[in-house]
This record gives sequence, C-alpha cells and structure tokens, in this order.
Amino acid sequence: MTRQNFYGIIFLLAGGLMLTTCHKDYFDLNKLSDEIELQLQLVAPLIYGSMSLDDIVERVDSQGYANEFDDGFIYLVYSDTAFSMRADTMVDIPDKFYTEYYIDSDIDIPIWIGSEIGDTVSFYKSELFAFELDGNDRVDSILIKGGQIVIDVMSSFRHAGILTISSGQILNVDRDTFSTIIEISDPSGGFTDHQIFLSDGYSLKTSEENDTSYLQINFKLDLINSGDPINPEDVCEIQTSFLDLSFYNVFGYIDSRNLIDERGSFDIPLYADNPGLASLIFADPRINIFTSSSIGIPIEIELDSFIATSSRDGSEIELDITEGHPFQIGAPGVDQIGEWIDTEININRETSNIDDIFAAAPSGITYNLIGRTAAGTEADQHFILDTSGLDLTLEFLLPLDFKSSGFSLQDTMEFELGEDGIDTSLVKFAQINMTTLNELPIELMLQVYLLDETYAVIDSVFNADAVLLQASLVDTDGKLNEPMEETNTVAFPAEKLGRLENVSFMLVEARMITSAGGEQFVKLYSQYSLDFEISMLANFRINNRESN
Amino acid sequence: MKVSMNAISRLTLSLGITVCLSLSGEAQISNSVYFMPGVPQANRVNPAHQPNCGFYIGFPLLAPMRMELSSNSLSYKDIIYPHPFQDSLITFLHSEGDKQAFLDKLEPSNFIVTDLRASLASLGFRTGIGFFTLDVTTRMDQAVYYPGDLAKLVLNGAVEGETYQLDGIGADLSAFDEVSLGWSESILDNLQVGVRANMLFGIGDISTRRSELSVTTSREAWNIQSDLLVSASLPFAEVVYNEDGMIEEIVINDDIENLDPFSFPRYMFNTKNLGFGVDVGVNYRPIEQLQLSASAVDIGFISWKDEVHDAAYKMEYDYIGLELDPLELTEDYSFGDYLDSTFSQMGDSLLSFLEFTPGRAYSKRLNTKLYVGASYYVTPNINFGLLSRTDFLQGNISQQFTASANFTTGRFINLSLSYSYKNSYLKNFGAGFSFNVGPLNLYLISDNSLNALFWPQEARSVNLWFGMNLVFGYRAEERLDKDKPLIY
Repeated sequence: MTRQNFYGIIFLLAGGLMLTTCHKDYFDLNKLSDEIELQLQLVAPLIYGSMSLDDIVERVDSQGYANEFDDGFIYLVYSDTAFSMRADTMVDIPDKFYTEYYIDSDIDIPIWIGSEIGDTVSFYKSELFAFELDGNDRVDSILIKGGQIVIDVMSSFRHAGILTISSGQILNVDRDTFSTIIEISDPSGGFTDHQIFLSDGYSLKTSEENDTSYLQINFKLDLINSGDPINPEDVCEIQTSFLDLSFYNVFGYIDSRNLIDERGSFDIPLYADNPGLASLIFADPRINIFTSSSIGIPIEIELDSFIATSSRDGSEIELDITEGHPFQIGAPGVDQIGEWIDTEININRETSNIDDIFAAAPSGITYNLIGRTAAGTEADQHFILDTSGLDLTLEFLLPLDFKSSGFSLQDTMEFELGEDGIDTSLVKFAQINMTTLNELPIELMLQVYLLDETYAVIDSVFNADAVLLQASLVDTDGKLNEPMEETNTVAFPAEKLGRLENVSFMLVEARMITSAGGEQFVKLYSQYSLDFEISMLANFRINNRESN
Repeated sequence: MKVSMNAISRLTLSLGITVCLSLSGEAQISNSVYFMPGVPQANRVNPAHQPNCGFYIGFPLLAPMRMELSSNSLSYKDIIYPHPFQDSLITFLHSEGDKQAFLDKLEPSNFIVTDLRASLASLGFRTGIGFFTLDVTTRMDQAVYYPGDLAKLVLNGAVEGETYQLDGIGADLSAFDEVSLGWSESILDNLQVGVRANMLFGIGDISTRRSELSVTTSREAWNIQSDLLVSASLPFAEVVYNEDGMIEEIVINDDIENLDPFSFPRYMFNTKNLGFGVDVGVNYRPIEQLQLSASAVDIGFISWKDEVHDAAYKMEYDYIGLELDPLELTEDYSFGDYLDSTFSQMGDSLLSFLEFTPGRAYSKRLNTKLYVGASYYVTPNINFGLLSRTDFLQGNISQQFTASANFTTGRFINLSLSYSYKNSYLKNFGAGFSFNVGPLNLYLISDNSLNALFWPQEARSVNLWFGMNLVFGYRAEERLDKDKPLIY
C-alpha cells in the first residue's frame, strides 16, 4: 500500500468517525422528548337557522292570545264572553180570566114567550177581551207554547140547551177556528161544566183598538123551552181562562226594558307578566264588542265603569267613549225570523280615550255591561221566538302596530359548565361570528352578564351596547321595506374563557327599540323572519404534557 | 438489562422513521446495478446485459432478495432533531419544533413506498443463439400516498379561505408472481439487444384507482368534494355484504387459514388475475471506450378479475353548519341532545355516500421505467457511467440521475461507487460489491448505503439488493484475453 493510499484511508476513516459522532446527536433516542404540542386554528360554520315571527309567536304564546289577520298582521286579543241570554224569559204572559154572563136581560122575551115548549131559541153574544202583557207591550199574535184554555160554565136556567163558544182569533193546532159546544143537559137550573183545552200549538191573533189588544170571543146560547119561566135571577156564567201560557213566538210591540246588567273582568298578561313592555306605545288599540242576536227587537248596550288598572302603579283610569255610545246592536226583521244578526262594535282611539288606557299599561280591566231593548214607538213591530237569544263577547284587541324607544326584557338562568369547565390550556382563543338578516322592525341590543353563585357580576359577554340585530327598514305604513343584515363578533380570549369556570348564572338583558329609533310605528307580520348564521374561529393549543 | 417501555417506544419510533424515510422515492430498483454487468441479475434493469458467465443459477429466495423503502419528501431529521437549547432530541411536534419547516419539506403529493422482491428461481445460460434467462419472482409493492395539504390540515388546522387539495390520497398494495423468460444477443459486433417476456400472476391487490378529494374551509361553509374509488382483488377471502350494502365480514378462505400447502399454488399462480409484461434493452458501443445503452422495463399490466370489490366515495358536500330551530329546544330536548341527533344524522349522511359493490375487473399497469445510460471505459476494468432513469408512476413521472465509477477485476470482483440525484435530494451515495469465490457469486448493492453511514439523518431512502448465485463458464474470449486457464 502506498503512503498516499494509507493517508487517504486514514482521512476517510477520520472523516467517517467525525460524521458518525455527529449522527449520534440525532439518534440518541434516550434523549427524545415525548412532548407534543399542536397549535391549531379552526374555522367552521356552527349553526344556522331561520325563525319566522309566526313560529316565535306559536311557541311563546302558550295561552293563545296571539292571532293574525288575513294578511298576516299579528294582534293580541284578550276576550271575555260577557253575556249570553235566551229570550224565552224575556216576555211573561200573565194568566187571563174572561167571564161572560147570560142573564134575563139578554133574553129576547117576546121571542121566548112566543116559543112553544120544545122550541129552541138562540141568543148570541160577542165580547172583546183585552189581551195585555206587561207595561206598554202589545201583542199582535202569539203561538202558544204549553198552557191551557179552561172553560167553566154554570147555568141556572131551568132549561136544557147548547152553549157554543168560538173565536176567530183563536186557532187550534190545526189552524181551525176555535169552537166548542157545551150541552146544557140539566134543566133543573143547577148545570155546571168544566172543560180544559191544552193550548200548546194554539195561536192567538189579537185585534187592536185604542192601543189595546183584544180577543173577540163569540157565544151562542140555544135554550130549549122547557115550559118553565125565565126568572130575573137566572144566569148562565161562562168563564174562559188562559193559564200558564208561554210562547213559541210573540209578535207585537215590546216596550223597552233592561236585559243585561253584567259585571266582568279580564287580565292583560302582556303587561302583567312583562313590566318592561310598559313603554310600548300601540298605534291602534281597540275594544271590540261582538253581538249576535235573533231577538226581533233592537237592543242597545252600554259599557259602564270600564276601568283599567295600571301595571305600573296600580292607578285606575276609566274608559270614556265619546261616540256612538250606548251602542245599538242589530236585530232580525220580520223577514229574518230565526236568523242571528251579528254586530261588531269597535271602540278605538277615534271614539274613546283607549290610547290613554293603554298608555297606562293596564294589567287588568273591570267593566259593567248594561243592555236594554231600545226605546221605540208602539208602531214598531217586534217579535220574539222562544229560541231567540243574545250573545255578547267583549275583546281587548291589540294589533302589533307599536313603537318604542326602548323596552327591555331580562331573565336569569342557570349556567353550569360542569366540573371541568373549559380547559383554557386547550382553547386559547375563540371568536364567534353571528350574521343576521332581520326582517323584524326591532333593533335588539343584548348583554349577557356572567354571575357567580352569589349573583355578583363577574364579566359580560358583549362589549357595552352591542347591537345584535339591526331593525329592518319600514315604510311610512310601518311595513317592511328592507331587511337589515348585521354581523357581530364576540371574542373570548383565554382569560375570559377561564372566568366561565366560576359562573353559576347568566343574566340575559335584551333592550329593544323599534325602527327609526323608536320614532315610527311598526307593524309585525307573521311572515317576517329572522335568519341567522353562527360561525366560529378558535385557536387551540394541545400539549400532551399539560393535558396530563 | 432493563429496557423501559419508553425506550422501546422510542426505539420503535426511530426504527420506523428510519426505515420509512431512509428509502428513496420510487426507485425500487437500484441504479448502481445498471453498471455492474458482473452481477447475473443485472439484466433485470437492462435485458441486453449479459453476464460474463455461461450459466448461472440463483439460490431460491436469494437471487436476488431485494428490499426497498422510500419516502419522496421526508428524512429522519425532518422529524427528529436536537432541541435548540437543551441537550435532548425533539420531534417536529414538540413545542420548540419547527412545524412550518416540516410542512415546507412536504411536496404537494408525497408517498412512502416499500418494495420487496424475492426470486424463487433464477437461472441463465448461454447458447449459440444468445443468452437465455428464466426467473420466477414474487413481488410485493406497497405505496401510501399522502398529500402535503393533509399534514397542513392536521398541523395548522382549518383556516379561513383555504382549500386543501387532498388529491392522490390513498394506498396501493399489490402482490404478484412474475415468470420471466429473457433473451439477449449481440446482433452486431457492437450492438447487443435483449428482451424479456413476463407473465404475471396476481395474488392480491388493493388499488386506489381514483383519488380526488378537496376540502375548502371557511367560516361560511366547508366544501368537501370527493371522488374516490378503491378496487381490491381478494382471491383469498370472501367479502360478505349486509342488506345496506355495507361490508359485514371478510372471511379468509379456510385453506389459507389452515395453511394448506397444496392450496398455495392456486393463489400464487392465479390465472384469473393474469398479466403480461415485457422488458427491452439495447447496448451499443460506437467506439471501444464508450458504451451507450437504453432499456425499458415493466411495460405491462395485470388484469385483476378474481374476487374484485369496489369501494366508491363520490360526493360533493357543503357543510354550512347545523340547522337549528331554537324554538325546538326545551327542557326535555337540550342543545346537547340536538347536537347528538344532528351529528348522528350528519354522520349517516356522509356515510351514505360510501358505496361497496362487487366490482368489475380492472387493469393496472406496471410502473414502467426507462433507462438511458452511457459508460466510458478508461481501461477495460474501470469505467465511469452516467444514467438517466425515468419512472412512469401512476399519475407521476419521476426523474433520477446517477453517476458511477465502476471497477472490475474480471471474474472475481466488481465494485461500483455511485452518486444519484433523486427527488431533489443531492446526497445519495451508493456502492455495490460483487464477489466470485469459486462458483459462488455474492453481491450486495445499494444506491444509498453510504448515506446511512455519513448522513443517515438525511437519507430518504434505502434500497438493498442481495444475491447469491452459482456461476459457471466464463466467456472464452475473456479467458483468451486474459490468457488464464479455464477453471470452471
């Protein structure tokens, strides 16, 4: 081996040794640290959704106070069925007793004297009997329901005979003229008879004379000459009684009388349950009275002592109706017998001080409802059926057309992260982005306060006065013109995340303002929606040593 | 001596990384062997090469035994290196590790390839019409592909507005037997040609046939697009599907499970998974000192037909968050319940895109390699070579260059020192040694062997050829030239 080759080999070995020594730095695995740390960023959409006002109302309105008009315009309604009556008790038909006599002066003596024994001599009488109801009521006709017509006859004439009683104004159930024949069979002068006619289905048609209703009843007495004389004290007494009559229908004139005197009350939980809503100003609050009547008489009703109690201070304010009060409600005409006529009475800010009532944020209402048949003239034609009735409903209607420069709601809820809380060695920073597209004409400012177990405030989630939702733009009528999009970012640095471990409660405070800074009335429609998208950005730091 | 679990795990990690990453890319065949015609199996890279002997026969399993493991982008030191301030080693995942440097090392498409070939039979003999070879080789190729963006997603997370191209993710695992018949002959004084025909018998295969996957992340949406198709030929197992079309069970055939030796030929030479290939080569000496050569090997394909199954995952999915109706939440149905329910639905939805079906036959071509080389003979025993190698991979082309210095003492010793440029890595130093002791021929060749000695922490690949043959009958002209007695 030459010297050069020798040196070359020595050089290579030395170089190799040096290199191998260097390699040892990389391969001495006893020195290998097992620490692993990852610092990751993660962006991701989290949740999205859409809530229509219809959905919200359906969930929130467990009592069913909310409703909507055909176009989706939402209103709240607090209603009370104030009164309901049936007319069969409206008119009372008193028992009637009519008495007619045949006495000697009613006998045409010359004819009687000229008659032979065994001849029949007839004597006729016709009487008008007044058929009156209470007060100034006038009856033109009645279809009788129940009751009876009782005829009692007593004759002291010592002659046999036949008594015929009839009236063209009394029709039996077959619509035939009422007529009955009573045979006086006892010529001894001691004859009596008692006849009862069940009058259900009979009709009475009166005639009027000098503002009085009359029934004309005709009598025919046929006496068979027995040969005995007719003495001055002889008499044939006929008593016709109408007993226990009620009616299927009554036609005539029913004089004015009180029908309703009803006290009622209802709560308005909108304010009672949410004092924060007291600043709402409603554009068009209404009281609606709905009636339905089949009584053939005009009726008027009066709201008396309609008093609201303020939810703020308990003060009372009385409703003052300036127009159309008392209210006339519709009645069926004679061509609408059996029909129910509906009437809607609206009390609004044009006809009353109802806006003052609502400005007081009433938590409850008391009222006294008075109803009576309307005063008329005796020329008026009324009718009542036994099935006639009157129903009346009172409602407090609040279309959601309102404005507010700031109303707030708040709620405290439990918040538990669990024993481990948030591992801030894992999550170093989190940022939540929320983008909303709001059709609601309400601006929402939200703050969430983090409270410890003693309800002391530890921190807040948002910066002060964070606007979570921008109110949509509305036109002059308060309807949606343009939805508003808003993006909010909430940052949770590690120190804020760390504080969550001590949080026991969250106080959520929402402050809301209607569009245009609360200066404009806005309307809420059920089809309005709120779309939201929530995404996150988070920085994670994962270290196996710290995790252990 | 006590060995702690910690030490074992570290050792395992170290070995794994070293083995995985100290192998070079797609260079399943050592380039150094190209310029070692004294190695009988050199004709594997150029069928025109003829050994100097008249006859050789290889030892079963050892003629040659070839192993290779490589990564195209990462080396050991990209993963483990000294702590910057302390006397310790850290991984790139350590808090003081440089994750960005790790990511910078990655290519858009990365792979780890392993290649194991064992020759069951290898023989060659010279006749008046040329040199003939017969080889039976069992090949097992595995490749795992991982896009660089996958590591970016894992290490950096999903950041705003980023699109992670995960195309190419997947794995190919293939095992087949190759029966080769080769012939080479000098058709002119200075022109030698060779050709080898290969018949291929597929044992089993899993192939990622389509791999398009991207994930775009932002706060607004995650968009996932996927078109993945994995096909498998599993002749040794029965795949049972349930009513939903999902794989319920994979049952290994009884004869395999019972290691029935008589059943092995059926699987080893499965004619249902038949393939064909051809290798061609040429050597040309325009002048005595210069030899030009070229070869193309592994031109061919395997048609996989036996027990083929497909798994497809094709979808376009926009995740824009979980749809939530806050009004649905109640005391009885919390947000947690909602999340459970929704994630479950989402999982089912994503899973619904996964479709397993008994598949149709598919063909898979071999990774063809093209070699172009030149050797300059300073003396008859010393030459310097340059080699260009182009690998036509599944969807990629890889280029390598190798320079080598080659020395031969004739029949006794062949030595080669090589330097290769592979996958943008410059320090690939290799060596090959071939010894003939009597009729016994031994050789050991690697393109990266010196890396392991000098820069093991930088090595990306290791390949190793080891062979043992019995050789007879060196060429007469050589004997005449050397004027040596015939000893074989």
